[in-house]
Amino acid sequence: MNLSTTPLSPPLSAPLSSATISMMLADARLPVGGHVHSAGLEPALSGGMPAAQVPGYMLGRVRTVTLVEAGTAVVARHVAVQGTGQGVFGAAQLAVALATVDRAWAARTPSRAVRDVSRSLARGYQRLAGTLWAEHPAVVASALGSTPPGPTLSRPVLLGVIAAAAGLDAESLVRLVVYDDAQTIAAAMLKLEPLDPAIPPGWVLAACAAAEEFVTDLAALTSADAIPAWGAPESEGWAEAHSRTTQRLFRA
Amino acid sequence: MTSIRLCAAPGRARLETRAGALVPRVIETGPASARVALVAGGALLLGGDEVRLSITVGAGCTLELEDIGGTVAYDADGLQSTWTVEATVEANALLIWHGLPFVLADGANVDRRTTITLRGHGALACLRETIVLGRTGERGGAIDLHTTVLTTGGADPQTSDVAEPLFVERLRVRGAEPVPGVLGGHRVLDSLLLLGTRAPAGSDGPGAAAQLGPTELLQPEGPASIARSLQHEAHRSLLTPVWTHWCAHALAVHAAALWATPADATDGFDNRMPAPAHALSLGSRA
Repeated sequence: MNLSTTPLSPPLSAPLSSATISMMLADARLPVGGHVHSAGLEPALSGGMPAAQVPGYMLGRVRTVTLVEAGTAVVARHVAVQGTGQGVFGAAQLAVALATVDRAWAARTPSRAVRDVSRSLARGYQRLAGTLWAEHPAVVASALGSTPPGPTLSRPVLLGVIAAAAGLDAESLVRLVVYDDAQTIAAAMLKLEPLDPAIPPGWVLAACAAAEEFVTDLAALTSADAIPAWGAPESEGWAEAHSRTTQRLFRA
Repeated sequence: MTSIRLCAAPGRARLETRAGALVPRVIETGPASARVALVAGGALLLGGDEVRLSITVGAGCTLELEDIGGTVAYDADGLQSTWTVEATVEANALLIWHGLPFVLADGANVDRRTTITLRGHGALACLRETIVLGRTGERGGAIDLHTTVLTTGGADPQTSDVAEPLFVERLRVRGAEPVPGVLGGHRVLDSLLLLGTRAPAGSDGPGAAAQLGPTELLQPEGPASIARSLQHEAHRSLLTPVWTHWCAHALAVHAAALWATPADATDGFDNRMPAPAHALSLGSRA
């Protein structure tokens, strides 16, 4: 049996809960290449950040770059839902609208190393979306938007597109982005600075709890201009330095 | 509100200044250029102060701003002050501003906003901003830094008024609560922004950066370069060689844009023309 030509089975057209979509997207076993990333942890440790500061680093991201990521995903989701729900946009117009969200993200992400990693991760999500929700207008548009010579769309924009295609609500999308970033750090920590594996999950829950105060406002975003722009200069410097090394476990 | 407005005019550029909390002092003007010093009009920066500065660099002009002395935001027991700069740089114009350190004493609470709009083709800016947490022996107060760089005036008339973000950043820093990954334990955030063009590859690249310590060159997606240095003490010299290099580059790009008139467009850059006065003044200071 040739699995690659197996028609998509009916369950995809049946309703799925946001919880199920969240679980799948947050699962490290999802084949999108997330295992080569440490959410900046390896660059930070290589750059001299003491391991004892990892919980603080995780909380720092929750209040800075993770909000940029989550806000971008929410606005991309909004654009994708608006553009497809009312049939107002053609695929080309929707691609332009998604590209606007992507440029807002890029303007908030001054490190090329960080952008490159996000766009490379996005290719995995693009492939997933193109297989599972190939007919969805936002997925079609995102494929247009990811065609060279222009830059491919970033990971948060693809997450927003998938959220629109799969029916993931905006608040769940924010929580997914927060959880994924924190859990990526926690998992990488066990490889980089081994410790009792039961400890980092507690940091993850603390990070998720710290993000709760932002969830409602972030989930209500509709405009690319309103995406948070919190930067992390020290982390950006570490990412740039890490991108030039060859002695590394994680790409970023 | 302090305002500085430079516009091209027949013979000599027209410079209009208005004093506010900051007082502009004209150093020199040229056919299409001006150098202006910014002097504090009184004790700055105290709790509740609202400093506003509006800058316009008209098409084809070069405006060079110089701070006279750094700024200290004094202990205000947490009472907020604001520092707002809005600059518009028009087509083929250049803004150069070598800001001096902005020192945040314990108990200061500052909302500092810098908005730069590059309006039109060939608009350029080269800026330095140095934020220092605390005077000697202090950890430093609180600052919210908003930096917004927009470009407008694309070739397509339908979208020429649409502002496109080039660099948008917000940092909230509390000297007493260092955050790993944001500034960590560093007390100095020294930034150079080259806007409207990219820095040339070479001496400011990673090789040079390695010699400068914790300094990184960032390459935004649009036409801009950012150099950043995080330090424990205010060593002004670290980014100074990069600043000199970037200013020279901005002046060269600016001059090339101005001189690429239709008459000599086929020849490209006409290097027989004398360098403008502001280029010489910058060179002597470097």
